[in-house]
Amino acid sequence: MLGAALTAVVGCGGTFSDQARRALYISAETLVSVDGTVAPAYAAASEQSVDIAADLVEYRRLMAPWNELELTLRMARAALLRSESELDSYEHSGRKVGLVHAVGCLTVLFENMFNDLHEVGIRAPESVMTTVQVLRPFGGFCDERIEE
Amino acid sequence: MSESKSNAKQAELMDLLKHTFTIASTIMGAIRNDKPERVDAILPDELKTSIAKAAGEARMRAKSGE
Repeated sequence: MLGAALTAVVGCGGTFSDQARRALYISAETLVSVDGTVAPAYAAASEQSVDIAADLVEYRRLMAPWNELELTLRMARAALLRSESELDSYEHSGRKVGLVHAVGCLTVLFENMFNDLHEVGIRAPESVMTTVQVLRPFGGFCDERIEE
Repeated sequence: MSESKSNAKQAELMDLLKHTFTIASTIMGAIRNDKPERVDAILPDELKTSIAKAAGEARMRAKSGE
């Protein structure tokens, strides 16, 4: 229900640019919130893995799903900054291509985040899938290689 | 056993409340601001999870002497 409210808030009023900016704002808040949940869980898993592992290779093997999640979060952060920069460019030039591409890739990363959270046993908060819904109208096809 | 189940339920409920609060605050933020805060002002320079990853690898290196 809250997710539907957020989606409605993004679409309510303003120009395309205002709506896209609201969608990016919501995505950034969601990422910060997910990061706040994941970090202590990562630290706890890491502590356990350090105790068990004999060397760095084994440690990384144990932490692989967590490191996949960390990579997704880090890439989502970079994609958010890039989307905002493309939105700034769109406001000056009126060309949407860069924005649509950047938001398309950002959407894929939030979809991956949902799966990566599941892989480490964290139930993805509703806001992650809501963010995907909120971003979708602004994004296009992502042809970049997104690590999975 | 039942106490740990009850603790898990409590933790789950707290998580749900925390996320509901986050979504509600985000809605209020989006409604309140005609021009919402910029993404580069919201995002930290480094994610807490990335810091936890670096710390974990450092601990492992210290333990294994690599």
